[in-house]
Amino acid sequence: MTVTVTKPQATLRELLAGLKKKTGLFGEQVMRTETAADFYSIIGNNRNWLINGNTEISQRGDFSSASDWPNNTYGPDRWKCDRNINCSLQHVVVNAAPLTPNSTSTKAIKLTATNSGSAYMGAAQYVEHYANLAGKFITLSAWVRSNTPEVRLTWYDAGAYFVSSPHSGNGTWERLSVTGLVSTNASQGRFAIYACNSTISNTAIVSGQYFEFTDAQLEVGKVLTPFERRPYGTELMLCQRYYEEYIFPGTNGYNDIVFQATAGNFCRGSIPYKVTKRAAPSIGLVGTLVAYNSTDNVATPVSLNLTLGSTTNASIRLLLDSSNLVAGNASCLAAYPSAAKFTFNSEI
Amino acid sequence: MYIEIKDNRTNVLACIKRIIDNTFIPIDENNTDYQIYLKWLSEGNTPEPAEEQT
Repeated sequence: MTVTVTKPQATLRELLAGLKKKTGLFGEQVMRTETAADFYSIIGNNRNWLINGNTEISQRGDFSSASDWPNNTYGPDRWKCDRNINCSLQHVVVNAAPLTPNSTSTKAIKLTATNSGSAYMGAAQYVEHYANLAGKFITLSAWVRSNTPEVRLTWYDAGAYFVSSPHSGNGTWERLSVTGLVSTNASQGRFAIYACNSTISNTAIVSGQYFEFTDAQLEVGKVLTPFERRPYGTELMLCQRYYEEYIFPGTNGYNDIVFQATAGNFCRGSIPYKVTKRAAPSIGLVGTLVAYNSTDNVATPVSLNLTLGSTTNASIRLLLDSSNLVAGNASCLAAYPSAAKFTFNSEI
Repeated sequence: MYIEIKDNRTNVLACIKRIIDNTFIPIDENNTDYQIYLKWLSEGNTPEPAEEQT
């Protein structure tokens, strides 16, 4: 009787060689994944739930010089001040290399305390559709630099805070992160970075203490992955779901828009948004506009008088300062004497 | 703090004017500024009389 012995497909030597294969940073992370959600969070696009995480978009202003950042107001897009002590905002260039081996981010938000006391200061971002994360593990991370050892990442969920370990406070860039389970009744996601104590309350803040942050990321799963940089245009459009501006250039600019003079000393018209809004936005006018008559030789100052809500366009009525426009005629709006803009705000 | 603005053509509330920064807030319960206005109303406050619209 003949007995056939089959050689195994893989030898022990080959298996050992396989263990020595270099898998790279992403390969290591893929191998460490425990769930499908973790796996797809690594290989998928748009895994960052935060918008403008690298802080490059700043429609509301330049902020290149440090100036007071009022509480509950926005600086660079989507980032809102939350503080109970005076602090300044500066949109700084990241120049302390290397921030991170793969980073292409060039901007960071810098908060500097301008008073001393028992207090907190920070920047927060509200995430839309947070309820979709209910029951999932999520990981919040950011690159942070500070001269105080009391800077932490945190998010608030159903009465509890999730808090990262603090920055060392030695002035170098460090990546902070925190992982946690989103509650099943999650309704509002608020993600922030604070100078505060370990229970997200007041700490001893001294004037001049600062922190900078960039490459903030919120992703599904327990695995911390490299910051995902989306194209600038994509990130800008994501921001404009919550805020955008219509900017008129200064005197003699030709970025006019045409409205129609109507009875009652008004002129009215519509401005389509670049991006459909999350909700009908609040509308403001910054600067001074004038309305030209049909022969383009008389300019009348106008003021915002009435707006009608929509997520796709602004219906605006302006009140004329004088009655020298003929109802029914077209009227060009222009900024005078300096630049002016309409603001459309539907932040969370 | 606030003024209610009615559309003179329909006599229907069109928007809310926040006086401090001259911002016009839409009647949209998803708008955060409108939510703050509703909370302000629920605390017993009342807006200033509607501006005359001709």
